[in-house]
Amino acid sequence: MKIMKTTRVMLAALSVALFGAAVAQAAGADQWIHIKVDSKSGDEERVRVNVPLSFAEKVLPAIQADCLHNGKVKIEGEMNGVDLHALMDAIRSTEDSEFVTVESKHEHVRVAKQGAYMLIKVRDEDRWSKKGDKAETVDVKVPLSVVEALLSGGKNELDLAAAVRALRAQGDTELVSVNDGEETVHIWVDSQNTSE
Amino acid sequence: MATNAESIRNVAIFAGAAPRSGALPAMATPEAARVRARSRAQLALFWKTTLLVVASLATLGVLVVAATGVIWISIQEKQPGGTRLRLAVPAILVPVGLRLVPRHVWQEQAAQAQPWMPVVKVAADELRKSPDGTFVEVRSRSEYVNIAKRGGEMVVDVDDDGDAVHFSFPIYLLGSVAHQIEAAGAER
Repeated sequence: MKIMKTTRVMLAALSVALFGAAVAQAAGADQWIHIKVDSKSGDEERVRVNVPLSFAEKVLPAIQADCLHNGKVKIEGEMNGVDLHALMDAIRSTEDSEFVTVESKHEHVRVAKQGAYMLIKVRDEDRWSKKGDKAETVDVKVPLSVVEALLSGGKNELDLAAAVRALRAQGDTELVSVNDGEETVHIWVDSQNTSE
Repeated sequence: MATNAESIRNVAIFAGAAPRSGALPAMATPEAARVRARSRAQLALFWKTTLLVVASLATLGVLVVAATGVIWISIQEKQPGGTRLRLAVPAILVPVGLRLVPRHVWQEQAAQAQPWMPVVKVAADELRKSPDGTFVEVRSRSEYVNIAKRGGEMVVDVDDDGDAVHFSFPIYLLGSVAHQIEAAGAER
């Protein structure tokens, strides 16, 4: 009886240790951003880009190009008095809701907040009739924390490095999916180093 | 013939295998046998030392190349009779070679590349820490491009209708070369 109890305790300890190791490994695993483009037309090109987010996070601030400095992009042109920070605050504080809905004979556009995500959905059936395939679909799902980080820079600035940091903290996420019948684009984040 | 015998004897003296003076010892006497044995021992010692030095140098070279990596270049033209080039260059030769090339030869190019060197250095550092994987893959009916990190190396493969090119290099080389370009550009 005593042996069985000891065995049970040891098994429980082993399970806890294995679970702890799995959690630690998941937390320590590097996140990768994947871009996958498949084209059915022309040369039937397939493009796969896989970048570790830790790499992007460190390299972005080092780039000093025309509009990109220290990991921040200067927004060129007029914002027509739109305060992006105030807009973000307003979005964050509202309940889940649809901000924009456009319905036409062939086109449906929806911009909404759902939980911790901003969702943009576009269905364009006009293109479907032209190509004889199916409707063009665009699905964008961006974590609010990433949008917030993106707008955390100065006025008229997008902080790309902060957005990458936020994305890294977010874990596995689907970001963009586009399908226009001839070409599909898929962008997502996970801990795999391949996009297959 | 006498001249030839003289030459052989001189070589033997140089190698320590024959006494410096006097006529060649008679073979039969015990003294001559002792001298011959001593000469042979000296010759053996000479060759052993030489072999040891050569082996040590070769081992050191192999260790240095193994520790610093190799740049592999392979180019194959697909047309009939096309060029096939395979090259393995010890990576250590690149930074050493850059030191030997006079600065004024590449100073201007170094100055032009200067703004991008901090990015290259950070990228090299981060690439070294990054896990292995394929960073870019482009595949179509006529072309295949693959850029990947494997171990401590960046591997680039390009395969199209005309050529198949393989190029790999140790990642540390990027940072090392960037440092040298930065230094050369700063001197301008």
